[in-house]
Amino acid sequence: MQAARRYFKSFASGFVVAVPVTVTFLDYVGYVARVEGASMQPFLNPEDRSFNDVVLLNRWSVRNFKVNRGDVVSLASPRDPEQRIIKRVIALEGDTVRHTFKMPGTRTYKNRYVRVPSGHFWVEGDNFGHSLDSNFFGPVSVGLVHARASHILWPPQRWQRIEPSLPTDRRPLDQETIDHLEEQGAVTVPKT
Amino acid sequence: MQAARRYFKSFASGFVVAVPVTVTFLDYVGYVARVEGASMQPFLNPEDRSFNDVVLLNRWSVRNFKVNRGDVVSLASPRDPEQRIIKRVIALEGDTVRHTFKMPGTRTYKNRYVRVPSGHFWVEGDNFRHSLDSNFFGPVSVGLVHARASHILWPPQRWQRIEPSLPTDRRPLDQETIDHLEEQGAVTVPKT
Repeated sequence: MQAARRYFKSFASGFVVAVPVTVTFLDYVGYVARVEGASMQPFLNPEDRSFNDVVLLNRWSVRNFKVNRGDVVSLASPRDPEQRIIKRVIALEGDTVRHTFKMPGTRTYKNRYVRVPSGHFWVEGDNFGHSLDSNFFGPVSVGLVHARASHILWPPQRWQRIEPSLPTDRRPLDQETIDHLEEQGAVTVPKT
Repeated sequence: MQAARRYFKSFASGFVVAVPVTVTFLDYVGYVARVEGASMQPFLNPEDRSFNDVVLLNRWSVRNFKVNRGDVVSLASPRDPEQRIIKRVIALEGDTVRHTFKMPGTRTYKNRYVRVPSGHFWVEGDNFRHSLDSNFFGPVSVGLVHARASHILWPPQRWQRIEPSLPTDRRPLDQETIDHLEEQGAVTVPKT
Protein backbone atom coordinates (compact mmCIF):
# COMPACT_ATOMS: atom_id res chain seq x y z
CA MET A 1 0.00 0.00 0.00
CA GLN A 2 2.82 2.36 0.96
CA ALA A 3 4.73 1.46 -2.16
CA ALA A 4 1.68 2.00 -4.35
CA ARG A 5 1.11 5.45 -2.91
CA ARG A 6 4.74 6.38 -3.39
CA TYR A 7 4.57 5.12 -6.94
CA PHE A 8 1.41 7.03 -7.64
CA LYS A 9 2.89 10.24 -6.21
CA SER A 10 6.00 9.88 -8.35
CA PHE A 11 3.89 9.18 -11.38
CA ALA A 12 1.63 12.17 -10.74
CA SER A 13 4.48 14.60 -10.19
CA GLY A 14 6.29 13.26 -13.24
CA PHE A 15 3.13 13.70 -15.25
CA VAL A 16 2.56 17.24 -13.99
CA VAL A 17 6.05 18.13 -15.16
CA ALA A 18 6.10 16.18 -18.39
CA VAL A 19 2.90 17.61 -19.83
CA PRO A 20 3.92 21.29 -19.74
CA VAL A 21 7.45 20.46 -20.86
CA THR A 22 6.13 18.50 -23.82
CA VAL A 23 3.44 21.02 -24.68
CA THR A 24 5.97 23.88 -24.56
CA PHE A 25 8.29 21.91 -26.82
CA LEU A 26 5.55 21.17 -29.35
CA ASP A 27 4.37 24.77 -29.34
CA TYR A 28 7.71 26.54 -29.48
CA VAL A 29 10.07 24.11 -31.18
CA GLY A 30 8.06 21.86 -33.46
CA TYR A 31 6.32 18.59 -34.02
CA VAL A 32 5.58 15.95 -36.60
CA ALA A 33 2.43 15.71 -38.69
CA ARG A 34 0.98 13.64 -41.48
CA VAL A 35 0.01 15.49 -44.64
CA GLU A 36 -3.57 14.96 -45.79
CA GLY A 37 -4.89 15.66 -49.23
CA ALA A 38 -3.55 16.20 -52.73
CA SER A 39 -3.23 19.98 -52.87
CA MET A 40 0.57 19.91 -52.69
CA GLN A 41 1.11 17.16 -55.26
CA PRO A 42 3.49 16.17 -56.66
CA PHE A 43 5.78 17.61 -53.99
CA LEU A 44 3.89 16.10 -51.05
CA ASN A 45 1.79 12.94 -51.09
CA PRO A 46 2.70 12.09 -54.72
CA GLU A 47 0.17 9.90 -56.48
CA ASP A 48 2.40 6.91 -56.98
CA ARG A 49 2.61 6.25 -53.26
CA SER A 50 -0.06 4.79 -51.06
CA PHE A 51 1.23 6.34 -47.85
CA ASN A 52 0.86 9.94 -46.82
CA ASP A 53 4.00 11.93 -46.23
CA VAL A 54 4.98 12.82 -42.69
CA VAL A 55 6.65 16.20 -42.29
CA LEU A 56 8.52 17.99 -39.53
CA LEU A 57 6.77 21.24 -38.69
CA ASN A 58 9.13 23.86 -37.33
CA ARG A 59 7.30 26.30 -35.02
CA TRP A 60 10.42 28.14 -33.88
CA SER A 61 11.22 29.46 -37.36
CA VAL A 62 7.87 31.27 -37.66
CA ARG A 63 7.77 32.70 -34.14
CA ASN A 64 8.37 36.19 -35.60
CA PHE A 65 6.12 35.53 -38.59
CA LYS A 66 9.08 35.74 -40.97
CA VAL A 67 8.39 33.53 -43.96
CA ASN A 68 10.13 33.39 -47.33
CA ARG A 69 8.84 33.02 -50.85
CA GLY A 70 8.95 29.33 -51.71
CA ASP A 71 8.57 28.07 -48.14
CA VAL A 72 6.08 25.29 -47.47
CA VAL A 73 4.03 26.33 -44.45
CA SER A 74 1.12 25.12 -42.37
CA LEU A 75 -1.47 27.75 -41.50
CA ALA A 76 -4.98 28.09 -40.13
CA SER A 77 -7.44 28.20 -43.00
CA PRO A 78 -8.97 31.67 -43.46
CA ARG A 79 -12.27 29.92 -44.09
CA ASP A 80 -12.19 27.87 -40.88
CA PRO A 81 -9.72 28.65 -38.10
CA GLU A 82 -9.82 25.10 -36.70
CA GLN A 83 -8.61 23.61 -39.97
CA ARG A 84 -4.89 23.47 -40.76
CA ILE A 85 -3.81 23.62 -44.38
CA ILE A 86 -0.36 23.22 -45.91
CA LYS A 87 0.61 25.41 -48.85
CA ARG A 88 3.54 27.09 -50.52
CA VAL A 89 4.29 30.79 -49.97
CA ILE A 90 4.21 32.45 -53.40
CA ALA A 91 4.26 36.16 -52.55
CA LEU A 92 4.82 38.44 -49.56
CA GLU A 93 3.40 41.80 -48.53
CA GLY A 94 4.03 44.45 -51.16
CA ASP A 95 4.46 41.90 -53.96
CA THR A 96 2.34 41.97 -57.09
CA VAL A 97 1.07 38.49 -57.88
CA ARG A 98 -0.67 37.16 -60.95
CA HIS A 99 -3.96 35.69 -59.91
CA THR A 100 -4.63 32.38 -61.72
CA PHE A 101 -8.31 31.78 -62.34
CA LYS A 102 -9.13 28.19 -61.65
CA MET A 103 -12.56 27.02 -60.73
CA PRO A 104 -15.84 28.14 -62.22
CA GLY A 105 -17.67 30.17 -59.64
CA THR A 106 -14.45 31.38 -58.03
CA ARG A 107 -15.14 34.92 -56.99
CA THR A 108 -12.46 36.94 -58.71
CA TYR A 109 -10.84 40.30 -58.51
CA LYS A 110 -11.56 42.74 -61.30
CA ASN A 111 -7.93 42.61 -62.38
CA ARG A 112 -5.64 39.68 -63.04
CA TYR A 113 -2.92 41.14 -60.79
CA VAL A 114 -3.16 41.67 -57.05
CA ARG A 115 -1.01 43.70 -54.68
CA VAL A 116 -0.48 41.72 -51.47
CA PRO A 117 -1.39 44.06 -48.56
CA SER A 118 0.81 44.62 -45.51
CA GLY A 119 0.58 41.88 -42.91
CA HIS A 120 -0.56 39.37 -45.57
CA PHE A 121 0.93 36.80 -47.90
CA TRP A 122 -0.18 34.73 -50.88
CA VAL A 123 -0.20 30.93 -50.68
CA GLU A 124 -0.87 28.24 -53.26
CA GLY A 125 -0.93 24.48 -53.39
CA ASP A 126 1.44 22.99 -55.97
CA ASN A 127 -1.45 21.00 -57.44
CA PHE A 128 -3.11 23.49 -59.76
CA GLY A 129 -6.81 22.72 -60.02
CA HIS A 130 -6.94 20.77 -56.76
CA SER A 131 -6.10 23.40 -54.24
CA LEU A 132 -8.24 25.84 -52.31
CA ASP A 133 -5.74 28.62 -51.78
CA SER A 134 -5.17 32.36 -52.27
CA ASN A 135 -6.47 32.02 -55.81
CA PHE A 136 -9.78 31.30 -54.13
CA PHE A 137 -9.73 33.26 -50.88
CA GLY A 138 -7.25 36.03 -51.71
CA PRO A 139 -4.28 37.22 -49.64
CA VAL A 140 -4.08 35.62 -46.20
CA SER A 141 -3.12 37.29 -42.89
CA VAL A 142 0.40 36.26 -41.92
CA GLY A 143 -0.89 35.92 -38.35
CA LEU A 144 -2.51 32.66 -39.42
CA VAL A 145 0.80 30.96 -40.19
CA HIS A 146 1.49 28.12 -37.81
CA ALA A 147 4.74 26.39 -38.81
CA ARG A 148 7.25 25.90 -41.61
CA ALA A 149 7.54 22.37 -43.01
CA SER A 150 11.29 21.85 -42.80
CA HIS A 151 11.70 18.13 -43.64
CA ILE A 152 9.87 15.18 -45.09
CA LEU A 153 10.50 12.47 -42.49
CA TRP A 154 8.51 9.53 -43.85
CA PRO A 155 8.52 7.37 -45.91
CA PRO A 156 12.27 6.81 -45.57
CA GLN A 157 12.85 6.86 -49.34
CA ARG A 158 11.50 10.40 -49.42
CA TRP A 159 13.49 11.70 -46.47
CA GLN A 160 14.74 15.20 -47.43
CA ARG A 161 15.14 18.72 -46.22
CA ILE A 162 12.51 20.99 -47.75
CA GLU A 163 14.22 23.94 -49.42
CA PRO A 164 12.29 27.08 -50.37
CA SER A 165 11.52 26.89 -54.08
CA LEU A 166 9.03 28.56 -56.38
CA PRO A 167 7.46 26.92 -59.43
CA THR A 168 8.97 28.45 -62.58
CA ASP A 169 5.73 30.11 -63.57
CA ARG A 170 5.21 31.62 -60.11
CA ARG A 171 8.45 33.58 -59.80
CA PRO A 172 8.16 37.23 -58.71
CA LEU A 173 7.48 39.71 -61.50
CA ASP A 174 10.27 42.13 -62.39
CA GLN A 175 9.83 45.79 -61.49
CA GLU A 176 9.48 46.92 -65.11
CA THR A 177 6.52 44.61 -65.63
CA ILE A 178 4.95 45.79 -62.39
CA ASP A 179 5.32 49.47 -63.30
CA HIS A 180 3.81 48.76 -66.69
CA LEU A 181 0.82 46.97 -65.16
CA GLU A 182 0.27 49.75 -62.65
CA GLU A 183 0.20 52.33 -65.41
CA GLN A 184 -2.47 50.29 -67.13
CA GLY A 185 -4.47 50.18 -63.90
CA ALA A 186 -4.29 46.41 -64.08
CA VAL A 187 -3.34 45.86 -60.44
CA THR A 188 -5.99 45.43 -57.75
CA VAL A 189 -4.96 46.76 -54.36
CA PRO A 190 -7.38 45.08 -51.93
CA LYS A 191 -8.88 46.87 -48.95
CA THR A 192 -6.52 46.66 -45.90
CA MET B 1 31.60 24.23 -2.79
CA GLN B 2 29.47 21.13 -2.46
CA ALA B 3 26.59 23.16 -1.10
CA ALA B 4 26.87 25.65 -3.93
CA ARG B 5 26.75 22.90 -6.54
CA ARG B 6 23.74 21.29 -4.91
CA TYR B 7 22.03 24.63 -4.75
CA PHE B 8 22.77 25.35 -8.39
CA LYS B 9 21.47 21.93 -9.44
CA SER B 10 18.26 22.45 -7.50
CA PHE B 11 17.85 25.87 -8.98
CA ALA B 12 18.49 24.64 -12.50
CA SER B 13 16.07 21.74 -12.28
CA GLY B 14 13.46 23.98 -10.68
CA PHE B 15 13.93 26.46 -13.48
CA VAL B 16 13.69 23.80 -16.17
CA VAL B 17 10.35 22.76 -14.72
CA ALA B 18 8.99 26.18 -13.87
CA VAL B 19 9.47 27.71 -17.32
CA PRO B 20 7.42 25.18 -19.30
CA VAL B 21 4.76 25.02 -16.58
CA THR B 22 4.43 28.81 -16.58
CA VAL B 23 4.53 29.10 -20.36
CA THR B 24 1.87 26.41 -20.73
CA PHE B 25 -0.30 28.22 -18.21
CA LEU B 26 0.07 31.57 -19.97
CA ASP B 27 -0.64 30.03 -23.36
CA TYR B 28 -3.55 27.81 -22.46
CA VAL B 29 -5.20 29.45 -19.47
CA GLY B 30 -4.53 33.16 -19.59
CA TYR B 31 -2.49 36.10 -18.47
CA VAL B 32 -2.64 39.73 -17.53
CA ALA B 33 -1.93 42.66 -19.83
CA ARG B 34 -2.01 46.44 -19.83
CA VAL B 35 -4.21 48.09 -22.40
CA GLU B 36 -2.47 50.66 -24.61
CA GLY B 37 -4.21 53.31 -26.63
CA ALA B 38 -7.57 55.01 -26.82
CA SER B 39 -9.39 52.87 -29.38
CA MET B 40 -11.67 51.25 -26.78
CA GLN B 41 -12.60 54.43 -24.92
CA PRO B 42 -14.65 55.06 -22.90
CA PHE B 43 -14.90 51.40 -21.91
CA LEU B 44 -11.16 50.85 -21.50
CA ASN B 45 -8.58 53.50 -20.61
CA PRO B 46 -11.20 56.22 -20.10
CA GLU B 47 -9.90 59.74 -20.54
CA ASP B 48 -10.44 60.89 -16.99
CA ARG B 49 -7.84 58.48 -15.67
CA SER B 50 -4.10 58.77 -15.97
CA PHE B 51 -3.42 55.03 -15.61
CA ASN B 52 -3.96 52.42 -18.26
CA ASP B 53 -6.36 49.62 -17.49
CA VAL B 54 -5.01 46.17 -16.81
CA VAL B 55 -7.18 43.31 -18.10
CA LEU B 56 -7.26 39.56 -17.62
CA LEU B 57 -6.92 37.84 -20.98
CA ASN B 58 -8.56 34.43 -21.08
CA ARG B 59 -6.86 32.15 -23.62
CA TRP B 60 -8.82 29.04 -22.68
CA SER B 61 -12.16 30.53 -23.75
CA VAL B 62 -10.96 31.07 -27.32
CA ARG B 63 -9.15 27.75 -27.78
CA ASN B 64 -11.90 26.62 -30.19
CA PHE B 65 -12.18 30.07 -31.78
CA LYS B 66 -15.71 30.49 -30.43
CA VAL B 67 -16.35 34.18 -29.85
CA ASN B 68 -19.62 36.02 -29.25
CA ARG B 69 -20.97 39.30 -30.50
CA GLY B 70 -20.13 41.95 -27.92
CA ASP B 71 -17.03 40.19 -26.57
CA VAL B 72 -13.89 42.25 -26.06
CA VAL B 73 -11.02 40.29 -27.59
CA SER B 74 -7.32 40.63 -28.23
CA LEU B 75 -6.16 39.58 -31.69
CA ALA B 76 -3.16 39.80 -33.99
CA SER B 77 -3.53 42.81 -36.24
CA PRO B 78 -4.26 41.83 -39.86
CA ARG B 79 -1.87 44.61 -40.89
CA ASP B 80 1.03 43.38 -38.73
CA PRO B 81 0.97 39.92 -37.13
CA GLU B 82 3.38 40.92 -34.36
CA GLN B 83 1.08 43.65 -33.10
CA ARG B 84 -1.77 42.81 -30.70
CA ILE B 85 -4.90 44.91 -30.78
CA ILE B 86 -7.93 44.85 -28.50
CA LYS B 87 -11.37 45.39 -30.01
CA ARG B 88 -15.02 44.48 -29.60
CA VAL B 89 -16.61 41.74 -31.72
CA ILE B 90 -19.49 43.34 -33.63
CA ALA B 91 -20.46 40.63 -36.13
CA LEU B 92 -19.74 36.96 -36.86
CA GLU B 93 -19.51 34.91 -40.04
CA GLY B 94 -22.73 35.10 -42.06
CA ASP B 95 -23.83 38.37 -40.44
CA THR B 96 -24.58 41.47 -42.48
CA VAL B 97 -22.89 44.48 -40.95
CA ARG B 98 -23.25 48.18 -41.68
CA HIS B 99 -19.91 49.57 -42.61
CA THR B 100 -19.36 53.00 -40.98
CA PHE B 101 -17.22 55.31 -43.09
CA LYS B 102 -14.82 57.17 -40.89
CA MET B 103 -11.53 58.47 -42.12
CA PRO B 104 -10.82 60.26 -45.39
CA GLY B 105 -8.80 57.94 -47.55
CA THR B 106 -10.30 54.81 -45.98
CA ARG B 107 -10.57 52.34 -48.79
CA THR B 108 -14.23 51.40 -48.84
CA TYR B 109 -16.48 48.72 -50.18
CA LYS B 110 -18.83 49.68 -52.98
CA ASN B 111 -21.82 49.10 -50.72
CA ARG B 112 -22.51 50.29 -47.23
CA TYR B 113 -23.32 46.75 -46.06
CA VAL B 114 -20.93 43.83 -45.89
CA ARG B 115 -21.56 40.10 -45.50
CA VAL B 116 -18.97 38.66 -43.10
CA PRO B 117 -17.41 35.63 -44.85
CA SER B 118 -17.04 32.20 -43.22
CA GLY B 119 -14.06 31.91 -40.88
CA HIS B 120 -14.09 35.71 -40.31
CA PHE B 121 -15.53 38.24 -37.91
CA TRP B 122 -15.96 42.01 -37.71
CA VAL B 123 -14.29 43.97 -34.90
CA GLU B 124 -14.48 47.62 -33.89
CA GLY B 125 -13.00 49.83 -31.22
CA ASP B 126 -15.61 51.57 -29.06
CA ASN B 127 -13.92 54.88 -29.81
CA PHE B 128 -15.49 55.72 -33.15
CA ARG B 129 -13.04 58.33 -34.24
CA HIS B 130 -9.84 56.77 -32.98
CA SER B 131 -9.83 53.15 -33.97
CA LEU B 132 -8.21 51.25 -36.82
CA ASP B 133 -10.56 48.29 -37.09
CA SER B 134 -12.75 46.35 -39.53
CA ASN B 135 -14.11 49.64 -40.81
CA PHE B 136 -10.61 50.14 -42.15
CA PHE B 137 -9.31 46.65 -42.92
CA GLY B 138 -12.55 44.73 -43.46
CA PRO B 139 -13.55 41.38 -41.98
CA VAL B 140 -10.77 39.67 -40.03
CA SER B 141 -9.86 35.95 -39.99
CA VAL B 142 -11.03 34.40 -36.72
CA GLY B 143 -7.73 32.50 -36.64
CA LEU B 144 -6.10 35.77 -35.53
CA VAL B 145 -8.02 35.93 -32.27
CA HIS B 146 -5.74 35.50 -29.30
CA ALA B 147 -7.77 35.88 -26.09
CA ARG B 148 -11.00 37.19 -24.61
CA ALA B 149 -10.71 40.06 -22.11
CA SER B 150 -12.74 38.69 -19.22
CA HIS B 151 -12.05 41.19 -16.41
CA ILE B 152 -10.66 44.63 -15.75
CA LEU B 153 -8.24 43.98 -12.88
CA TRP B 154 -6.68 47.41 -12.31
CA PRO B 155 -7.17 50.11 -11.14
CA PRO B 156 -9.12 48.69 -8.18
CA GLN B 157 -11.99 51.16 -8.56
CA ARG B 158 -12.60 49.78 -12.03
CA TRP B 159 -12.46 46.12 -11.09
CA GLN B 160 -15.27 44.36 -13.00
CA ARG B 161 -16.16 41.36 -15.06
CA ILE B 162 -16.41 42.26 -18.74
CA GLU B 163 -19.80 41.15 -20.07
CA PRO B 164 -20.47 40.87 -23.81
CA SER B 165 -22.34 43.98 -24.89
CA LEU B 166 -22.95 45.72 -28.19
CA PRO B 167 -23.30 49.50 -28.62
CA THR B 168 -26.94 50.32 -29.33
CA ASP B 169 -26.22 51.42 -32.88
CA ARG B 170 -24.21 48.27 -33.66
CA ARG B 171 -26.85 45.65 -32.87
CA PRO B 172 -27.42 42.93 -35.51
CA LEU B 173 -29.84 43.85 -38.28
CA ASP B 174 -33.17 42.02 -38.37
CA GLN B 175 -33.77 39.52 -41.15
CA GLU B 176 -36.39 41.66 -42.90
CA THR B 177 -33.93 44.52 -43.27
CA ILE B 178 -31.26 42.15 -44.56
CA ASP B 179 -33.60 40.61 -47.16
CA HIS B 180 -34.58 44.08 -48.29
CA LEU B 181 -30.95 45.17 -48.67
CA GLU B 182 -30.07 42.02 -50.57
CA GLU B 183 -32.87 42.64 -53.03
CA GLN B 184 -31.49 46.09 -53.62
CA GLY B 185 -28.05 44.62 -54.25
CA ALA B 186 -26.75 46.77 -51.43
CA VAL B 187 -24.73 44.06 -49.69
CA THR B 188 -21.11 43.40 -50.61
CA VAL B 189 -20.06 39.77 -50.24
CA PRO B 190 -16.24 39.89 -50.16
CA LYS B 191 -14.04 37.33 -51.86
CA THR B 192 -13.46 34.27 -49.60
